[in-house]
Amino acid sequence: MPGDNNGCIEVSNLRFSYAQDCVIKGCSFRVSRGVLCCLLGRNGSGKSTLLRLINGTLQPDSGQVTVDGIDVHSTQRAITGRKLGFVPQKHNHVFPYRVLDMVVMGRTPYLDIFSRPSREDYLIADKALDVMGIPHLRERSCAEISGGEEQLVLIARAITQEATYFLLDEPTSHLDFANQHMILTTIRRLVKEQKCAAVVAMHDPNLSLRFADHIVMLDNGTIMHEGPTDEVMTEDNLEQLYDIKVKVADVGGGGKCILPRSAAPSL
Amino acid sequence: MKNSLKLLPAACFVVIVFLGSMMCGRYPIGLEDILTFLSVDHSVVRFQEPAVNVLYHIRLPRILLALLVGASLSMSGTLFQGMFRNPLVSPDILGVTSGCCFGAALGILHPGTSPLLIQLLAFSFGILAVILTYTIASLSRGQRVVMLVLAGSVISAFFFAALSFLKYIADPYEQLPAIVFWIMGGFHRASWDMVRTLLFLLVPCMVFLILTSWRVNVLSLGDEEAASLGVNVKLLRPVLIVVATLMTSCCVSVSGTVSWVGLVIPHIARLTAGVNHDTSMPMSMLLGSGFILLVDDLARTVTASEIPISILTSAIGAPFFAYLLIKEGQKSAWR
Repeated sequence: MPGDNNGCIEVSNLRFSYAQDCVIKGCSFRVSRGVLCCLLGRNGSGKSTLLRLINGTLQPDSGQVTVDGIDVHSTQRAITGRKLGFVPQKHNHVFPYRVLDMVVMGRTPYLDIFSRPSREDYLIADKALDVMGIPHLRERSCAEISGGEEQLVLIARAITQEATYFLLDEPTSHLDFANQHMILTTIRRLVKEQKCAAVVAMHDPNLSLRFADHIVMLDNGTIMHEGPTDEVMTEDNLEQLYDIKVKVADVGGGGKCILPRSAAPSL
Repeated sequence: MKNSLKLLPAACFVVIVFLGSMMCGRYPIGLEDILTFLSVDHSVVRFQEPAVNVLYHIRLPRILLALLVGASLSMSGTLFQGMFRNPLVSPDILGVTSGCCFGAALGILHPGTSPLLIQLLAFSFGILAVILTYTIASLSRGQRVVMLVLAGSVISAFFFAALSFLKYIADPYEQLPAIVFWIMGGFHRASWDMVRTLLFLLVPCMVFLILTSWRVNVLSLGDEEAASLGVNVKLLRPVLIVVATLMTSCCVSVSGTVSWVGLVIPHIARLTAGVNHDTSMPMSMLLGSGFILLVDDLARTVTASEIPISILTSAIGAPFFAYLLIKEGQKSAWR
């Protein structure tokens, strides 16, 4: 494969429709290693669908997704499972597995159908728990831990996959203020330290502004704006995307904050 | 290592029930005789002795049949509950049992009826029912797991209607009781030929399910997560369905319906051995075989005539499960 395809996720001219309904209408972008990319868009704009197309769990009508030069949709799951670590939004797991058992499931792409994780696999899982700072949860049941801890466990599972590219579907949507920042700080640290990449579907523009290197604004299945966070997160672009009046306020110390322009409701 | 320790008491339970089953019955045989019988080389056993005759030709095949059926139904139940992510699922869910019952009734009504014909028809219709279920689910565009379960209930309803029709037109003095008695199930038809065939068919399936049991954990996370973790769901699920269907169909076609086992034993296995299928699958195998053997001992000894097995499995299984739900509910595997 051509060398310029290596070390990145390349989405080219992707189209997808549910039944008659066209949801993704020709998207192209690229996320290189070491970059945290946020997908922004309103409800139903196609963020989750796009994430699943990149993950290869949805089959596009046309276009392709390559990861390190490998076509995601024509490659065995066991191969793509070593590259892409998918972290679902809210898992509704039926069985309350032990946290360590849940994390070690990340080794599945490396195991054949009849084998089970070895000592080494459990060591890799333990290391992932350390990386996420949750070794104390090891023996707990997944039913007993909080939403934030659950997200950390699922990210640990993706680390156990030894994935280079993390796909996260609204990882902060069920979390409190502190946990939102904790999760994104962890993801950012992972991306920078391990030279990984992350594509994160997000609702909160403030969190995206703070943590993302790259922003893809998605509107009704097409890319409206795309580029480095500073260039894309402007008042005009945000107003166009969310269809409300927006002010990007300077809060000092280089920090910025996105606020709706309408006056706060009086009591 | 820790996991094997959990299985040890269950294995002891099966061995004790096994020895007890050889002792109990109309012809009393002592434990010493049984241990000599088991330790003696079978090529030199003299079959004239009545005790050996009863053990070898009557009790042993029946015991083995009960063990095989109990293990198979419980393991299929564990697999289906895991794979379909649903605590209410039993091996019947894709329509196997209703198909088998219809096939058996057809065999009983056939002019040239014979035990073999009944078994073959039961087995074939059990498989056919699942093929139909799978086809319906494949034709719909909905969520695959939900569609399979719904299509299964459609096919079950259809075959139960067909079965009712057969009962309606059956001769009420000979055929109808035969159908009803067949459906209620029992291991009285056991023979060495039957056990040999079943060993040949079921043991490879059981080994397969034990070997793949860790992967059922991943499958139980749902299609999307399983696929993200590198599982070829579109291949693995049909393969597992084929294996479980083969097992259930074999069992039901020789013993009729054995209700509740495939539903309750997986729950009990999970409560005792944990939710990880790696341990709950072998646990189901042990508990299922031991439980069915115990119940069959009751079925053949409690009254002078035989009690149909499904009456006892429900009558004992249901209250015991209710007790477990109340007592162990707080650490239940389904929260």
